[in-house]
Amino acid sequence: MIIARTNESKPFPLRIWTVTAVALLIVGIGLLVSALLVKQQLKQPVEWSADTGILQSAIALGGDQGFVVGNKSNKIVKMDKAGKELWSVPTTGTVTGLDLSPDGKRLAAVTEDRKMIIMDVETGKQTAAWDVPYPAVAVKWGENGNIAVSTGLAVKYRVYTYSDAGKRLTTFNQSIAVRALAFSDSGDLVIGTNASRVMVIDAEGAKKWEYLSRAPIVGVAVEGKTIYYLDNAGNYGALNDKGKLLWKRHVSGSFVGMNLSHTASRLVFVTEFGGVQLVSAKDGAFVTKLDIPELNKDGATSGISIAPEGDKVLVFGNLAVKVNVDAMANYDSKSGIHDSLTTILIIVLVLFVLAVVFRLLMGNPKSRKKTLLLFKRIWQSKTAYLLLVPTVALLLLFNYYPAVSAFYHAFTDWRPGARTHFIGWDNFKKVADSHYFYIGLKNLLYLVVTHFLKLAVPLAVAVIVFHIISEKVRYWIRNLFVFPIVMPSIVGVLVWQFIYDPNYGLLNNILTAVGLDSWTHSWLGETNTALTSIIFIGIPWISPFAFLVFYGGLIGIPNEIYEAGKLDGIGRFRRFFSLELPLLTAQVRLLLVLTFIGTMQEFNAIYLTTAGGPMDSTYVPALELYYSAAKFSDYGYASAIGVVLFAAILVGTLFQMRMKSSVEYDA
Amino acid sequence: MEKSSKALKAGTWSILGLLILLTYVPFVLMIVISFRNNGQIFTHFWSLPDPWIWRNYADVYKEISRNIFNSVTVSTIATAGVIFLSSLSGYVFGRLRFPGKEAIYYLILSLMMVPGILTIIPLFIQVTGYHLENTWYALILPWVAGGQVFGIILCRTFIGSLPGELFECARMDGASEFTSYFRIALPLILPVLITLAVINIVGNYNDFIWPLLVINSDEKQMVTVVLNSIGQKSGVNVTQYGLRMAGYIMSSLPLLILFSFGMKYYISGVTSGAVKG
Repeated sequence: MIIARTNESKPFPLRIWTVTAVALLIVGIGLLVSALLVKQQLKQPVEWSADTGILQSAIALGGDQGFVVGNKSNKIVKMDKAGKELWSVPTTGTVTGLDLSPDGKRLAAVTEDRKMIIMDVETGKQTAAWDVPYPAVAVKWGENGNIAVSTGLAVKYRVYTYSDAGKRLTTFNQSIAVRALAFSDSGDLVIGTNASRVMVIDAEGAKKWEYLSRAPIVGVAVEGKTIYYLDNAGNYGALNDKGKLLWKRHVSGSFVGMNLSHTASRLVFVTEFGGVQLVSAKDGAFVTKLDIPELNKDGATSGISIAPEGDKVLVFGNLAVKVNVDAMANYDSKSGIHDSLTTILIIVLVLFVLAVVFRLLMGNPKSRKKTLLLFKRIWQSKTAYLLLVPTVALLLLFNYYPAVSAFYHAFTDWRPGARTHFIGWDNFKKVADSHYFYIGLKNLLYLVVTHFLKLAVPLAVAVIVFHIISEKVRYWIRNLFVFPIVMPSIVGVLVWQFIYDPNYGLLNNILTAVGLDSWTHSWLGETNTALTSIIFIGIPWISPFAFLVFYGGLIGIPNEIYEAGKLDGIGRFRRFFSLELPLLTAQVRLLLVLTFIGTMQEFNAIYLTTAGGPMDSTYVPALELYYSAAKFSDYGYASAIGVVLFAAILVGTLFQMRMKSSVEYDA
Repeated sequence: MEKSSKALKAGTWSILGLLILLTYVPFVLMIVISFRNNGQIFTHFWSLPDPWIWRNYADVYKEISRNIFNSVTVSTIATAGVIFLSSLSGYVFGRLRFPGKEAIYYLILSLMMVPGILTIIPLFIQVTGYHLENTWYALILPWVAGGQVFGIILCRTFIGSLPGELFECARMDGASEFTSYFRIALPLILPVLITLAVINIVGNYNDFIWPLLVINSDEKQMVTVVLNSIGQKSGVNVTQYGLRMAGYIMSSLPLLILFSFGMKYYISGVTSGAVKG
């Protein structure tokens, strides 16, 4: 009776959980939809990129029409956004400049062999062509229908304007090349010269005014009455139509081109090495930047062209990449919203699953009892969980997350801010094909073996010091071997860098002093001595840590064992090999494992002394990882190296633990 | 027999003497070179500095005192975090019973198998994503997170071995968990915590590649990273070894001070096998 009553008196509110689960599901779907909506708005800054090989010139076409390029093999080629050739027209010389007519239907191309070609964009058919007096450098088709061409040779440089029928309208003489051209709304021509000058030329071909910047001008653009310029050294600014400076700023870098996005009111710069930077056209404030290092591959120099839509640019070099300027400016904030929506979605889904599981567990009286008990215990230990929150949160955020991220991104082409593409095993193939990685492994093998052997010294010293009879002497000598720990390890390496210095160093000075001049070397600078020199850093290799671990192990050996040894009358060598060494197995194994783990990640000593050189004689995988990330921004590849090293460390460590435990003694 | 033992003894002592001598070569070299300029080093390597160039110290102080301060401050803050979290979590694991305890503990323990080289690149991208690059948070947060793993294991072992009656009594007197952590556990494992602190500060102070990656202004940089560019601010491209050695000595001073009182904790910590992990 009583039992029955307790069962009935607590009818578990199952319905609430069903409702909760359904509600969570609805919220989850809502979140999913909004995340997808944001994702749709979240345009990747890079709309597409096409593998084109090195380009001399390129121009973006509107919408999805692709682009037209002038490549190295004297061709004008129209490509779609996948880099597929739509038509191709041979020219007699390198195409140095391309521009579209205001209506976007015709194309003006200028060549190094003094030709101007007008062609139909759709078909590639030539509609007009004429000669220009000098090799062409750049071309600009103005809104008024006139075409400006910058040409020149040696000290004679000319900027011409033509009508679209080929009638020469004006000529402007310069003694230095003009790389930047633009038309103002009133039909004036704005030019930027290699003599650091921005000039405005009126319809009669007369100079109105000029402004002097600090380096060759690589880009000019006009918006209403404002003229913008950028020079090669990163000085940029805005001038009014009278040539008065409105503002100017500086950004470091080596720049090759600039364009103005009218719709986004941003200036877009491109650097020699494929960096795209956005600054506000209002006051020049920095907005954001994007690095596309492949643009620079194989020595290609980047260039930039604005797409007819006005908010997109085509950046080219070894690739052609269409970048959405608005998306680039908004990417950070929008992607933030998307990321947090995704996070909340995951949490809601987890809660949903929990609610369903809970509902199912509660539905069955048997599992209900167990579940309730567990929940009661969890609730009772809430303090414990609460106290663990900071620890667990930090570990999840800064240890687990990056570890998982490393494994995931090792399979991607990872350029944060630009793109993350899944590319399968490509990064690992790259590791396997990398000459440097193999050299690194070979050098690591030397380092690991020698580092292992070096442990003999602290072991021997620990034994000797341990057997010093006078307690006071023993104490002081022990401390003498520990004291060097006050020297930061980096300092230790740097002092040895001095010892090896070919001109000032201790080693060469000693050799000279004892008459062995011929033995002197540039120790770290010669291929055949560098690695050995690095191995000999820190001689006599008594690391305070290893010394103390061995010393502690010796203290731990029970006195009776020594007594027994003494009774047997064994000498110190036998005592060492048959008593102490076997009893120190745990310590030896610990130090071998730690040394192995440390050496596999060896970076500091090599980075500071030789940076992997000379040639590749001291290269190690950790250097390859560091350089591929810090210099080449190839984070996917760097992650793959990390994963490979992790696997090697894991296997090596487990192997050492197994191997040693088979001969373990019980003390 | 007697004779050979004497010879052996003499041999042992001379080897020991030689090893000590070799161990201290870098120290002597650092001190002697730090008072010279390149000319003196080049022409009279074996003689004492003439004249003694004390200015090296004044010059290098101007250049790296800021970075030494940074290193000391950041290592100390990070270590304080490690000590607090390690002891707190060590207490939870060592004293409390709750569902999922061992599972969570093994998740922490397994991090001992994750080497820094695996996580360094994603971590770098992560802190850049949080816009923490070039701030001290980029150093402190990962250092605290990473340092506590070993600390928790250490603290759990020690707190777990404390007699349970102590905590029972406290509970009967109405002490909360936090009180018994703070008033009972902490004072009892203080020597362990000092050992942990010493090891941790040394570890952070010696870190090189992480600050090299995430800090890019000289003003905020750690001392270990700027040591290799001492003297380059003046625009002279020749390595001025005297100046550098003075800098090396200065950058060793904080650890010298730390070990002047922390050495015995370090020694007892390592020899007692606490570090075996």
